[in-house]
Amino acid sequence: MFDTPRNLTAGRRKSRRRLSSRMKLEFAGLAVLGILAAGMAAFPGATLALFSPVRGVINALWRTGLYGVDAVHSVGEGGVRLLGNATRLAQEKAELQKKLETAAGEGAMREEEIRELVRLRRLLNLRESISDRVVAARIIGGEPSALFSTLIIDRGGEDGVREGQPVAAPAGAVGRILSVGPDYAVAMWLCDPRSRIAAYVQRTRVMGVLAGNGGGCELRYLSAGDDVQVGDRILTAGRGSVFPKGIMVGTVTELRKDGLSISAVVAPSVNVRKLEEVLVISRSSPFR
Amino acid sequence: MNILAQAGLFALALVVDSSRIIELPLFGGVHPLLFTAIVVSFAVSSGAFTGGLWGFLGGLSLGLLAGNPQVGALTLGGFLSGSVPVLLRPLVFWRKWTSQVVLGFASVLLFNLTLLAVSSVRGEDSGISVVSGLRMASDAVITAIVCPLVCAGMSRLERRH
Repeated sequence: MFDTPRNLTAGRRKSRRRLSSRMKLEFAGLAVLGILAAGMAAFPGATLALFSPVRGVINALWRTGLYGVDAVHSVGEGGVRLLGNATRLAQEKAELQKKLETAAGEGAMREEEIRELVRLRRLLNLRESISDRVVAARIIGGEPSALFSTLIIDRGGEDGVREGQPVAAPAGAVGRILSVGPDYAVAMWLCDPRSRIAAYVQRTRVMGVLAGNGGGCELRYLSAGDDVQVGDRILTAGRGSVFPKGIMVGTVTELRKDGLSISAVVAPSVNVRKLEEVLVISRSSPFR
Repeated sequence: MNILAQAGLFALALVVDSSRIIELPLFGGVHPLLFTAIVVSFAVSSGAFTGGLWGFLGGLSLGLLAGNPQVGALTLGGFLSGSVPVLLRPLVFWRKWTSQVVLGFASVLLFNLTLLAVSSVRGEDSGISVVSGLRMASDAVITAIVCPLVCAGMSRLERRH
C-alpha cells in the first residue's frame, strides 16, 4: 500500500491512540504503586509483619553473603598490598620474589591480626568496666541514607539482644537497638534524627537532651546562663533507661544561641563508619 | 536491556549501598546513593513507570536488607525518586548529561525528603536542621555527579545487548 497523506494521518492517529492507552496504563500502574507505597509508609507495623518471613530469609542470605565477601575482601586487601611492591620485586629473582610476596602477605595478615587484637582488647576493657551483661557483636552492614544511620549487627534475639538496649564501643556510646531478628539486630546511631538521649557536660554537670541531626548531635534545651564551652566533654546521663551513666558521647565544637536557650553542637567520639565491633549492654532494671 | 541484567546490576548497587565492605568515596560524610543513580538511568531509558517500579523494589529491598523498621518510608521514597523527577522530563533537556545530573539531584533529594517527611509525620524526629539539610544536599550533589556516568554505562550496555 502507498503512503498517501490520508494513510499517514490514519497511521499517526493509530499510533497516538496506542501511545495514549499505553500512557494511561503506565499512569494507572504508577497510581497503584504509589498507593501501595504510601500505605506501607503509613502502616509500618503491618508492613513489617507482612514481610517478616521474607526479611528473615533475606537477612540470613545477606549475612552469609557478607561473611563470604568479607573473607574475599581480607584476602584481596593482602593482595593489593603485595601489588604495591610488585614493580620493585619484578627485578629480582623469581624465588626471592615468591619469598617476599609470602612474607608481605604474612606481614599484612599479621598487621591485621594485631589491629584486631588491639580493638578486641579495648572492647574487653570496656566490657570489664560495665557491670551489666554485655553481648559483643560485629557490624555487618548499615543503611546508606545520608540522614538516617543504622547499623546491622550479627547478634540478635537468640543472643539476648532486645529492642531499646544501648550499644557502645571503646570510644563511647554508639546508639540503641531499633529492631531485633533471631540472629541479627539493627542499631540506630546517636546522630540519627530519631535519636534522643539524656546527657550532661562533664565539667559543669549541666544536663540536656542529646538529639541527632543526621551528621552529628546537638545538646539541646540548655539555658543561656549554663556554663558550657567549646571542648567540653559530653557524657550519657543514665536517665530514661537507655544508657548507663558516664559513657562518653562526644565533644562540644560549637555553641548556638536560640533566643533564651542555647544548644551545643557535639562531635561524636565514635566514628561509626570505621567501627567494626560493638557491645550491646543489657540490664533488667532501668539505668540510673 | 535484558531484565535479568537490569536486576543483576540493581542487586549489585543495593549490596554496595548497604554493605560496609566496598567503601565508596565519602564527600562530606556522604557517598553516592548508587541504587538511585541506577533507578534514574532505568527511568531515563524506559520511562516513569519503570523508574517507579525499580525505585519501589529498591526501597523495599533496602529496607529489608538493612532491617529498617522504616521499610515503608524507604519504599515510598524509592518509588517517588524513580518516577516523579522523570515525569517532569519535558522541563529539562532529555538524554543530555545535564538533565541526568538534574534528575539525579532531584531523585536523591526527593528520596531523603520523603524519609524525613514520613518520620516527621510520625513524630520520630525533630524535622529538618541546617546539618541535615546540608547532608541531604551533599548526598544529592554527589549522586547527581555519578548519575551521568551510570546512565552512560547503562546505554553502552543496552547497545551491546
